[in-house]
Amino acid sequence: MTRKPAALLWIFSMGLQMASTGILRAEQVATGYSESPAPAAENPGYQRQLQYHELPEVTLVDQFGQQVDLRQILSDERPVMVNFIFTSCPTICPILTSSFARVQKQLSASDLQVPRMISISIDPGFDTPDILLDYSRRYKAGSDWYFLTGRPEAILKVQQAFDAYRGEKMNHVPVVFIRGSARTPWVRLTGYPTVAELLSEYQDLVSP
Amino acid sequence: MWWSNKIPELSLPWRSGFLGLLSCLLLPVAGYSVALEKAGGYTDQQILAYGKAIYRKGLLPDGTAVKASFGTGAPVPEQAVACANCHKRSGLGAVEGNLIVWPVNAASLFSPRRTTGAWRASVKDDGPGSRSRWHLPVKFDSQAARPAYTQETLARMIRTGVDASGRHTSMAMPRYDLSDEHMAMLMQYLAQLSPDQEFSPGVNKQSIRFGVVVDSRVSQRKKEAMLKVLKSVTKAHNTQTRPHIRRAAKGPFYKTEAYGAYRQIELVVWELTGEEESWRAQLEDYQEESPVFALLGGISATTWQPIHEFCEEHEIPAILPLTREPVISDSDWYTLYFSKEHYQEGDVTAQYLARSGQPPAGAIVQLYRPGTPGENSARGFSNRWSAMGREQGKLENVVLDVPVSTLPWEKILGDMAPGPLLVWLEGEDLRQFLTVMQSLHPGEEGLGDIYLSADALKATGKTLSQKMRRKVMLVSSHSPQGEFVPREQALKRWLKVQGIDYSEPEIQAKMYFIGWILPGALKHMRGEYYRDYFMESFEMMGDQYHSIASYPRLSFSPGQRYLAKGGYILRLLPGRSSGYRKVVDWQVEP
Ligand code: HEC
Repeated sequence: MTRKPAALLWIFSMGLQMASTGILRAEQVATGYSESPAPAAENPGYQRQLQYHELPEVTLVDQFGQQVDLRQILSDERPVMVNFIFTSCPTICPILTSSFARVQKQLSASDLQVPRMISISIDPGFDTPDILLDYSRRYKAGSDWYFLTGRPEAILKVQQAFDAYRGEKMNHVPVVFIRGSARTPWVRLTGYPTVAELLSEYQDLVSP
Repeated sequence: MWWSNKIPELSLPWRSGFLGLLSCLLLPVAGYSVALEKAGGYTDQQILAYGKAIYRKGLLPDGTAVKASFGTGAPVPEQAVACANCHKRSGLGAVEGNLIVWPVNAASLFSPRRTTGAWRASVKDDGPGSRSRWHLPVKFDSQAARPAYTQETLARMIRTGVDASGRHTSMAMPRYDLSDEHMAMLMQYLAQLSPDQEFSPGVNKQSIRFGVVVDSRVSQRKKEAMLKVLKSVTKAHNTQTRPHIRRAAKGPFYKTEAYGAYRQIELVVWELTGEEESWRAQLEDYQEESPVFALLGGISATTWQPIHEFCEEHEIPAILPLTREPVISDSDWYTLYFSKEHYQEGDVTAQYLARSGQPPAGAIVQLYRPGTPGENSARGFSNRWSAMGREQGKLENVVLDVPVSTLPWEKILGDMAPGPLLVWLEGEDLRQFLTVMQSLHPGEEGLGDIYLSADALKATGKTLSQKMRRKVMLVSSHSPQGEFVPREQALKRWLKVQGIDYSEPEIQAKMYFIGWILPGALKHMRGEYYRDYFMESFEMMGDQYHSIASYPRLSFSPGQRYLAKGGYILRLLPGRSSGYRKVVDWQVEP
């Protein structure tokens, strides 16, 4: 018997979503197996969009327990990268966080300005500052990387502002937001850009 | 080719001169046309143990972490590298967002995947000449279809992320740097993981048996309150039997799939008598006599530890027992608890004191008697307090080994000039403490707030003097009664329909909650009745808000085994009433 975790989706009545997210692509008919490697994928592994977001006025708390005014840390002239994570997330968050860590490390060794990094927990009930501090150490996060938590209402507002809210935490999507400065739009990357791709996206923004 | 420079050099391990390492013995994998080479120089048990450590913990035989990087090029941190994090302990995979983490047990890997989302029968019922109605029409075949893996293609998949059809799989599947020997160990482990159609004990074609552990010291009234609700819940489930069997036999394939997986629930009560030390042996006897798939609910007057350990060792799930003394562990796996109970009270107090503005004036004094639940409260406090970076020096632990009344109270309260006093006492100890405080007449200034467990105070039956009322903060790991009236009413209505008296609100609410989530977990298994998969089914349930009156919400998360993540701290209002103000309302404001 073949196990079909896709089938789990049905149980949580997300069958429709499945079709719309492209997991179940009825139109893409497989005409038998090819034993030789498939042709190189055209798909860059992620999508790119430009967006402006009206950010809410919220105070969050970082991994050291310090209050942080979200608008303020986003409004100075520094470039920023933002993602949404939670510490008990098994699959998507490790890949997002490890990419941030890698980008931070590589940029620190380069001539380019190092962006401010912001990872916002979408499970604030569990992810208290001390838990986030522990998490940040796992990924060897450098300085100027905020791991933020806060009141559930505040976190919800931020997710909604970035159009990154998908209800249940386990239903989240991989998204990264990059901005060159407070005056330019956000670049929204959905999917799994490689570290090299993230770096080049970033480079395009800061050294036009 | 966006990926071309990211694929590590293929080492073609199965073709080059590695055979010295591996014995030439080929192990056929039951039911599949694949043979695996076996790592040489080890016993089968060693191989499986090493394979298991790689799979579950991401650790190599020498204890170092497996190395891997994501398709993005970033290294996978040690805590995320174990296969089980993503593919789950059962190997049956999971779904996160729109990402499918495919199953990796033998039944899945060594047979072709033709479709996405469609059920297939076991190999035995499938194949040429079979009349089963299991397949989707071919036009629904998905892109993720692939032929069965061979030893070579599987090793390539794990090392490079290229699957048996040549597809470059998701960036999220790490590319592993494993030697031939370690790869062989891992494959042996996968080959026996969640074996096809060999379900865990306690399941047959018609039914699935659950045990309900009952500590004989618990009052008849409480036992009955628990059992009646559980029985009602399972009875409701079992009335579906006839229609489900009919639909499974006659329906189209997707109904066969859903209904064919259906099982009746059978409950057996395991009553434990005598000393706690003797429980373990009693449990072993019960399990040998008529094995259960998992434990459901259950109640203990004191600790759950012997049962917890029994379950951990035999890898038997225990779902939401009623106990005020759960085992606190962040690595144990098989018991799912409502709450850390006393530990949670200490934890929430630490979060509150650490975040409530000014640091306390004096030292924090923590009072508990070893071997009582209060020790857990103290542990909960200390652990969170130090995790939040507070200096340990400011925390004084007073560990009682004498009667409370004989302590040098003038000194404790005077010289140590305590800030908050955390009194994790109960029963006679707490009664004595309250009496001592009455006679000391603590001055308004001299003494900080006194933190008590709300449940412990209630159990003493004592009322507090006005002076004490002003000083006391009550800590609770669950909602005060009356907090969620509509939810209580929903439960009452349901009980009424079932013909059950509303006698034990907390017990009944909790068992009702089990009834609420159990069908989802059973359905989620889709007929794959493996104990590990059952545990994992609960992890997918996210936040539950409305189905229980004892907590504002319960949160399920991967790997987490305590659903309640918050607590209450109540400041009593002056006057004779039981009025209070919530200083902490479930979540400490970060
Ligand atoms: C961080 C998450 C993660 C970890 C850890 C992980 N995997 Fe995977 N794995 C995935 C994802 C996601 C897929 C599906 C990729 C796809 O189909 O595009 C996958 C796919 C696979 C497949 C292909 C299944 C098929 O049916 O084609 C195999 C085999 C596999 N993983 C084995 C392993 C083994 C063995 C380990 C541990 C050594 C492991 N994985 C660790 C996420 C993970």
